[in-house]
Amino acid sequence: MKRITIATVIFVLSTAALELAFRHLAHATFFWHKLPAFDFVYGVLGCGLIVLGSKWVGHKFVQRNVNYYDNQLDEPGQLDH
Amino acid sequence: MMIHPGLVLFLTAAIVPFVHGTARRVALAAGTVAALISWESLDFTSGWQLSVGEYSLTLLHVDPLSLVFSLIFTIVTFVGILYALHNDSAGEHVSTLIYAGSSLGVVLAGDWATLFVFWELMAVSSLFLIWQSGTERSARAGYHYLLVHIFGGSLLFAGILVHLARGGEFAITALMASDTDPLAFWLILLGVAINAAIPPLHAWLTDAYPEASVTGSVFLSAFTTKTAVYVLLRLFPGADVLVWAGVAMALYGVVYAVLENDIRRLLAYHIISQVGYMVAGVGMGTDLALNGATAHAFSHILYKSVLFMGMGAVIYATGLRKLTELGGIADRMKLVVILYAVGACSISGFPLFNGFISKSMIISAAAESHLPIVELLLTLASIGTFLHTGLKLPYFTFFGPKKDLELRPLPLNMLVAMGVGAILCTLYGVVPSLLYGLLPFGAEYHPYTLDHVVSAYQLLAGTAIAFWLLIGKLGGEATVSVDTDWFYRRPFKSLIEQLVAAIHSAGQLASTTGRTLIAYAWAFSQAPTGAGKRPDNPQAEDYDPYRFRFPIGMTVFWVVVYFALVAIAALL
Repeated sequence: MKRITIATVIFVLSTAALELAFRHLAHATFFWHKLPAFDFVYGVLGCGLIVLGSKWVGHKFVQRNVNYYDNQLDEPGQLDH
Repeated sequence: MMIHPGLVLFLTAAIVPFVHGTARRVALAAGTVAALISWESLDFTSGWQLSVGEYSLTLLHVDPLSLVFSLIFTIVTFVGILYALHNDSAGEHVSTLIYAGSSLGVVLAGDWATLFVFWELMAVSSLFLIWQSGTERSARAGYHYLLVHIFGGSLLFAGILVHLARGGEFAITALMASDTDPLAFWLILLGVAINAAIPPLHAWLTDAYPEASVTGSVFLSAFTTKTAVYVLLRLFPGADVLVWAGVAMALYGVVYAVLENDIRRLLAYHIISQVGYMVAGVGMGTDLALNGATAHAFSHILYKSVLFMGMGAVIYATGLRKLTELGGIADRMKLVVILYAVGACSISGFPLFNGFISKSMIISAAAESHLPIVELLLTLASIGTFLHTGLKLPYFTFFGPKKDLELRPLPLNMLVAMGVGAILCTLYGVVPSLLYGLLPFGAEYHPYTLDHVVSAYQLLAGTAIAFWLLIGKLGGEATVSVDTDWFYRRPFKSLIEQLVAAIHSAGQLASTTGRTLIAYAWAFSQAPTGAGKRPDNPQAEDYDPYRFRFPIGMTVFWVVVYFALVAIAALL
C-alpha cells in the first residue's frame, strides 16, 4: 500500500512537471488540456464514476437472477444477492 | 490482373468439404494466404463489371477506403483460420470462409445490388457460426440474430429501392441529407445501424456472439460491425446524428461491461463501445475524424481478435465462461496471459500498441472539431475500456482466487494465431506509418507527441489506482443483465405465443366446422338406404323408409303441379 502510494505520487508529480516544462509544445484546445495531471485526476474520478454508477444502475434496474429468461421465475425488481 | 480476395475465399470454401485432415488444413492455410496475395493485385484503375439486364453491376471496385478494409479483412481471415485449424468441422470452416468472403464482397462492391447481396450472404453465413456450438442457447440466440438481421436487411433493401425509384444513382455514393430522399436516407441508415449495433438496435450482438463456437466468435467480432462502419463511412460521412449515437454507444458498452459476468459477453459489450468511437468519428466528418474511424476499425479488428482468441483459449482449456467460476490459472496459462495482455494494452490505448495510434486520432478530432463534451465522454469511455478489458477481465479470469480448475492443453495453432495477432498489434503501434500510409483521407496526425503520451499514461494510471481501490466491487455477480433484448425475449415472445395460440384455435375451429359440414354433406351424397349409417355416426338407427315418404310424396306432388301449370299455359 505504502509503495503504491509513493510510486503514484512520484509518477503524478514527474508527469505534471513534464507537462509544465513542455507546455509550449502542447496542442491545447480546451482549458483542461493545460491543467497539469488533469488526465490522472480524470482517470481516478471517471473510473470511480463508472464503477459506482454502473453498479447502482445495475442493481436498481438491470440485473436479474440468472434464470430470468430461462424459467421466467422472477419479476422486475427482484434480485437475489 | 485483379483478383477479388472474396472469390478466393469462396473457392476455398468449395474445396474444404471434399478434403480431410492435413489436406484440409493445407487448403485452409493456402486459401487464406492466396486471399492476402490477391489483395496485392488490387488497384484503382479497373474493376469487375457484370451486365444483368439493363443494370451494370460492379462486383469489384477499389478505392483507398475499400483497400484498407479489404486488407484488414484478409489479414484477420488468415489469423482466425490459423486459430481454427485444429477444428474438424467442415461446416464451420465453410461458413467462416463464406462470411469472410461476403464481407470482402461488401467492401469491394461498387453498386447497391452487389452490396445488398453480399450484405445478406454475410448475415446468413454468420448465423451458422452461432449455431455451430450446438447448444440450446446458441439455437435461440441464432434465431434472434436471424430475425433482427432479416429486419435490418429489409430496411436496407427498402431504402435502396426508394433511393433508386426517386432518381438516386445505382453506383454507391455518399448520401447527403440535403440532396437525398429523406425516406431512403433514414431507411438505409437504420438498416446499417442495426449491423453497426447502435443502441437500442444492438442486443443481437451481445446475445449471439458469446454463444458462438470459440473459433467462430473471433470472426464474428471482426466482420459484421466493421462492414457496417465501412458502409457508414462510405454513405454517411458528417451525419451529425452519428456523433451522439457513437458517444452513447461508447458509454453504453462500458456501463454494461461493469455488470457482466460472462467473459465473452463482456468483450462483446466492448465491441459496441469501440464501434462507438468509429461511429462518432464518421459523424464528425472531418478528414482527421474519418481517418481515425478507418484506422480504429483496422486496429480494433486486430486487437479484438487477440482478446477473443485469448478468452476463447480460456474457455477451451477450462470449459468455463463466467468470471465467478474462473481464477487462479495465470501460472498455468502464462503465454495466453502475455498475448492477451498485448491485446488488452492495445484496446486500452497504451502507447506503442495499435489502439493508441487510432483511438487518440478520433479523440483529437473531437477536440479539433470543438466538441468538448464529446471529447470528455469518449475519454471517459476509454477509462472504462482499460478498467474492463485491461484490468477486471484478466484479473478475475487469470489471477483471481484459485478455483482448483483442470486445464485441457491448447493446440499449438491457437497460440501461434494469438502470437501473430499480438505481433501485428505491436507492429502497427510501433510503426504507425504502416497504417497511416494507407488511410484514405488527407489529414496528418502525429500520435507520439509528449502531451499525447503523458496524457495517455496519466489516464491509465488514474484508472489503475481507482480499480485497485474499488476492486472489491468489481467481481463478477451471478446475474443476467436485462438489455433491449428484453423486448423480444419477454413481451414480443409472449405476443408471438399468443398469436400462435390464436391461430391454432382458429385452425381447430375451422377444422371442427369443416368436419361437421362434410359429415352433413356426406349424408346427402349417399343412397337413401345407406344414409342412416353415416361414418361419423355408426350408432345411428337403421333405415326407416317411412321417414322419407312424406318429403318424396311432396316433391312428386309439386312436380305434377308444375307440369299441370305448364300444360294449362300451353293450352291458353
